[in-house]
Amino acid sequence: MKGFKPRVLLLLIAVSTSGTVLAEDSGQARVWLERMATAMSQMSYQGTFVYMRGGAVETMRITHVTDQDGVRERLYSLSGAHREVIRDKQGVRCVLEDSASVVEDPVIARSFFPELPLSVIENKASGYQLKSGGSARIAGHVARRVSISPKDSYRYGYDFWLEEQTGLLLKWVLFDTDHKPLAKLIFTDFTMGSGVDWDELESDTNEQDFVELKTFNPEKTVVTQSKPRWQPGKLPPGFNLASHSHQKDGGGVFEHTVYSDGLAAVSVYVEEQGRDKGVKQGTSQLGTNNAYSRIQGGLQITVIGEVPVMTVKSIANQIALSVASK
Amino acid sequence: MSKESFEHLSRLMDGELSRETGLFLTRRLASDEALCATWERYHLIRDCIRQPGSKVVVTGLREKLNESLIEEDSPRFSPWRSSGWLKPVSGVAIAASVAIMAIVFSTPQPDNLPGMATDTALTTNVNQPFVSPNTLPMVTVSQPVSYAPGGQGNPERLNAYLLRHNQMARTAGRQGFVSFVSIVATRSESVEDNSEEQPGSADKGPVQAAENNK
Repeated sequence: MKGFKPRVLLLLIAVSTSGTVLAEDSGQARVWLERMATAMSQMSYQGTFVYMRGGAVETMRITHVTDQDGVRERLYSLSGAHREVIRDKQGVRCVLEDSASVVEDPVIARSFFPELPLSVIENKASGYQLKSGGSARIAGHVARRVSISPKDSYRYGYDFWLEEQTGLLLKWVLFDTDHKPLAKLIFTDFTMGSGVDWDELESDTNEQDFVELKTFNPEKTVVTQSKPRWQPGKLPPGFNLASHSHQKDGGGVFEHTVYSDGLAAVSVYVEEQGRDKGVKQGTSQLGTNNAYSRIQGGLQITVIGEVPVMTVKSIANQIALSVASK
Repeated sequence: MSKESFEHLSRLMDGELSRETGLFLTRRLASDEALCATWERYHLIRDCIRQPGSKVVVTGLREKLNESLIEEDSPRFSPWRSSGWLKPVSGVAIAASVAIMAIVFSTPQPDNLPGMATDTALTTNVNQPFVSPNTLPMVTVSQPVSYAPGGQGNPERLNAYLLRHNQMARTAGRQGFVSFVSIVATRSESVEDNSEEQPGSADKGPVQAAENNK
């Protein structure tokens, strides 16, 4: 061991230990994320939260109940125009008072494609780095922090503050590759389990005031294992095909494919240009979601997801009729 | 509105209200516009209080809110911190910056320069007396920043796309209701497209063949 200085030995130990610590940290983060996924879908909870994005601050209320009838959820705004999303076994209804409209989407059959496991975002090839650590008191509950940082510019990062006992989400921060927050959601009061008031699931909204919007007819679509006819020639690193559905009869072109990197998901819609106005061509923003739409050969191609503009544009510009379909 | 209501609102913000009272107050928030406006105002006031003494507090509420978003940004490594000899220099630099800013703010601005925004709401007039931020029309701050009206496509179609996306993207279920917050929060916004990227040019970026992913 002559010439092998203690300082070098200490450095080697420190490096190897830090690697182990990082791996353990990542493993712990994954355990917390799995707890969150289970808790958010299987537990009952209720609370008021503040949502901040850009210069806008909005206050909302969520009631999520799970019982033998499945999941029932009501999310509505307490400030500004009345807007509401109701999810139950009948599907999703979105009430948008400021445009006097409602968007309805019945329950869509589950994808045949396997859900990407959380281990996908833990491995080295993934676009994310997982970290856990830190705690804070939020809405009267102790919360643990889990951070998912993007490794490239094709996806966003997330900070989750999870209730210590259950893993329920108490604070959520979306940030870009520079760790600059893009949006924040913080609960100001939070109740779970038997403390949830089920009466709040009932909407005060008068149904006859709404107008149903028909952008496409989801009842006529079918989820399939077949390869999409329209698909991107290339995808950002880590993204894989997650689901595919299309119009089941000869009523025109409608194809919807979802690509995911295990955490972020991007939808690709290929639809025949109808007589009504389609999505604005170019880039649009819907909350923290970016969308990019373009026309190609009488078809409208729209890519949407909670990813940077660069990602939706990259995918949209790569969409082409697959060789097998020609 | 009673003093008690104000106190309850304040305690609700701090998460100190009992569950029963919180529920009662939340129901009132859904129907009482005045209470709801106060609730929004409290959030803005709290945000403003965090950095007192700044001009932005008075005139740039939107900027203040942006700052609050950045507030909890993770700490960055700063090369300046490690250089002790730079401290005196940085002190001089800061003083100089403040002096320059003072000059900029006190220089009289000509009226209606071409291309210059004439919205006085965000313009600071140093001769005007201090105006409490509480008197600003807070409600507008919680409105969508911008919205693409008719003539620029159908925003409801985007909403429908997003709803279906959230349903089909099973990974979105991991964050539960958060995926739907965007729909409740804002209408679609038209975004200025500064990218030069053209169809087919994406293959120059670090993307991989889709076939490899299958």
